[in-house]
Amino acid sequence: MPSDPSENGKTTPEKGAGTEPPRIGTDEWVAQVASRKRQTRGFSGWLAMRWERIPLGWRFGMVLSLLILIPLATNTQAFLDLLGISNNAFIVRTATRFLVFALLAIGLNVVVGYAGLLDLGYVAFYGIAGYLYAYLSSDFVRIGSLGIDGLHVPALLSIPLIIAVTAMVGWLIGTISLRLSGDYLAIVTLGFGQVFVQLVLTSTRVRVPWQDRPVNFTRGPNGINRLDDVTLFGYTFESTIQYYYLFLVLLVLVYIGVRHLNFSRVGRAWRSIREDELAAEVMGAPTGRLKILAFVIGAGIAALAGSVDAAWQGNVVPVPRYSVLTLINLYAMVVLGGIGSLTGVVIGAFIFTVLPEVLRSSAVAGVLFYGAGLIGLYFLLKPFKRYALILIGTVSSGFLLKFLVLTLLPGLHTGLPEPGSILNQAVQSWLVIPADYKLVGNVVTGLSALVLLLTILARQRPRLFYPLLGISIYMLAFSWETRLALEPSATRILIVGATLVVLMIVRPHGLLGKPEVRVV
Amino acid sequence: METFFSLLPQTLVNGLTLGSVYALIALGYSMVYGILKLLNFAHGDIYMIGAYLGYGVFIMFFTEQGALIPTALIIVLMLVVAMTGAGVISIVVERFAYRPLRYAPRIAPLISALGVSFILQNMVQITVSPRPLSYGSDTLIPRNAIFELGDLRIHASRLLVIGAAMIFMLFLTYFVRQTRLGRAMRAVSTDLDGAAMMGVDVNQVIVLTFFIGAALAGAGGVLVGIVFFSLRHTMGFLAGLKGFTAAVVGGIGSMPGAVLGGLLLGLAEAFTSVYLSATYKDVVAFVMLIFILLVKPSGLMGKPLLQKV
Repeated sequence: MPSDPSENGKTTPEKGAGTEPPRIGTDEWVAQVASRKRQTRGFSGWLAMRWERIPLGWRFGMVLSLLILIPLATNTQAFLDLLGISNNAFIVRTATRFLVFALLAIGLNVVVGYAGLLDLGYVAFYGIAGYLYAYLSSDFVRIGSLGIDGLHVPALLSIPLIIAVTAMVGWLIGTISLRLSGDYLAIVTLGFGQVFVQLVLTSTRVRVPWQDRPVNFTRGPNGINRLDDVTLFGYTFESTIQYYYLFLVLLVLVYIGVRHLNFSRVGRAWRSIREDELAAEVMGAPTGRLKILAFVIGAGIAALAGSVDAAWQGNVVPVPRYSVLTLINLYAMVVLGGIGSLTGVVIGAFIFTVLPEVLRSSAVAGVLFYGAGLIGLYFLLKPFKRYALILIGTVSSGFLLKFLVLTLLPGLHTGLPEPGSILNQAVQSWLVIPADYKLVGNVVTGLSALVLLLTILARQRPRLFYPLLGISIYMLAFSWETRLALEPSATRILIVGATLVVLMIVRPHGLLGKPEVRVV
Repeated sequence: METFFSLLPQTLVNGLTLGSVYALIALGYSMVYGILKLLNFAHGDIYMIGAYLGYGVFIMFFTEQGALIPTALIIVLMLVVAMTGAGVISIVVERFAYRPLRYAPRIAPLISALGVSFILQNMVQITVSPRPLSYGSDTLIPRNAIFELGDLRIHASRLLVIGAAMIFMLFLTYFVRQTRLGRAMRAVSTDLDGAAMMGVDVNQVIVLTFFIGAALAGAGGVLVGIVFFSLRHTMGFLAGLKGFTAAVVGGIGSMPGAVLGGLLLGLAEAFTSVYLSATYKDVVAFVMLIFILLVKPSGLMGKPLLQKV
């Protein structure tokens, strides 16, 4: 066994920036320089430095032209043949969803990232805008006595109106919850979001004074459908591709606007509130008004995204679109990308809309699973020699086990009835798969999680660590082949969850967030 | 008015039943928050795990021929297994998902907790079943096991829930107030760094807190299964939300507050479903939350936040 240098110190702090306790006796400047140096280390650091040398406008233009090209490039015959699909509708749809979520995440970032307010009711603004759009541009509103048979307000009028009304609601919520701080603000806004969803779900038979029969305000869980498309200056947006470009324009406008806002006086004041509210107040920042402004702007961006999104989808449904699940998704995007970093938030939105869709196909998910496992192991076991040794050891002892089983207990190995893709077949040729693989797979899936955790615990002791690592690789491959690959719907959420935990531990400040420098 | 009074005692019992379960969940939230200032969003799923473990014990000892051992023993076993299992899983979660993030920005463990919640739910979905499981309403406690007090008819399972929750809370109070480890817990929740400097093993106390909180939630899961007969892998989400609400209403970090908040929430829901409409019970719960917090921004029994400069 090669001796591990980290073996000597039993109390070595764990990896990852989040594990470092505040340094004592380091002054802030030194700490900042040190953390900046750490950022430029390694391959990713080199890449980041290269990227930063490109002028800002060029960088922006490169990403933008890439986004413009997505629907066109994925429609070429070569690309479609590569993936083996007949058209790119699904890809454009996912890309449009990404743009919607990017808009929403930018709005949430203003509230959470810039002003530091933990707003868990954000998704309600998105929902309110959606429902307002549904009222203003469908056949839903029918008042017989006034002769109104469905409102069809032009989008150029209705969308600014919706943004104004939703921003007013944001102002109201902000004003009400101004005296709450931290987690209490979080729970009140969460309550607000819940009340919105519950009201939408239940206001189907409301008695009103001006009518005899109960009125159905929302159509409950069915939602309102057949909404008008957006028409701007005589041009009607109909297909998803047209909406894709509409959202792209909106995203660019909002991105630039928020970026300028961040560098303005207001943005600086927000950051000062986030860092230390008391100090900001003492320095003369009108903290109350600034917080409300953050709420209003966040609500406005959510309203913009929500109303156009309702038009694109053609319907509004309360669950799951406007429920806490969407909120969780948005928070994951914002935090994963790096709180307060605009580009990071957009990248977070990209990862969290594309990753679950990619994992839908179990063949692709398998490639990702094994690929990520191999790459992760490489970083874990860095010099390459050791990595290769471990892999060869694991693979050969797996074959040895299979050989022993085949000679000593010939009835045990039966294999899967449907082996799946080539990759699956390759892995399965290495595994011993008994006849009742489902039951065994259940047990192994539970146990492999346990063994994996034990392996992580034992990483300071090579004698225990390397054998355990081999065992957990084998067990994980087994549970993937027998259980996980067969239930893609649950597995993809499982993988998303694991990604969240691992990413938070490796980079607690998100992908592009600035690491917090704490000095005692 | 007549019907109001005739329904009152029954509603009270229903509310207390629901409230005791919320209180059990809220205690775990509140204890963890008090020490780590962490909103443990995976707590609801720990409660779900408890419910499933209890169910596992139930089908082990309750075959088609009937119970293999006395019912009371089965219930005790269910509680013991669920509480231990939930506690152990919670310790594992703390060790791997929260401890590495103890010095990270406050929102990082929150997201990590969401990830844990996804993992727990889908692990149960894959390894057990995506369909809801059912106890069968007559098997564990017979349907006719009813205590009558005048007009009031209380089913034995409700008494069991209220009684068990009371016993757990009394035990917890004793533990926190009277024992050495309880004193360490209070010390850590008052000032983590200060307690560490005074020689308290902070990690041990945190592990203990997670264990106790999760054990209470696991017990809540078993009790809910006994009263409402069915369980699902997604049941933890709304229960966790309600437990969190209860903890905040009572003043997060305060243990008597969590119990009070849980009972209040349960009563509010029971009264709304009886006197208003069952569809509005969640609306009322959250509106109540908003109003209480607006009047008392740190909850009913929470200490107002003091800011040292």
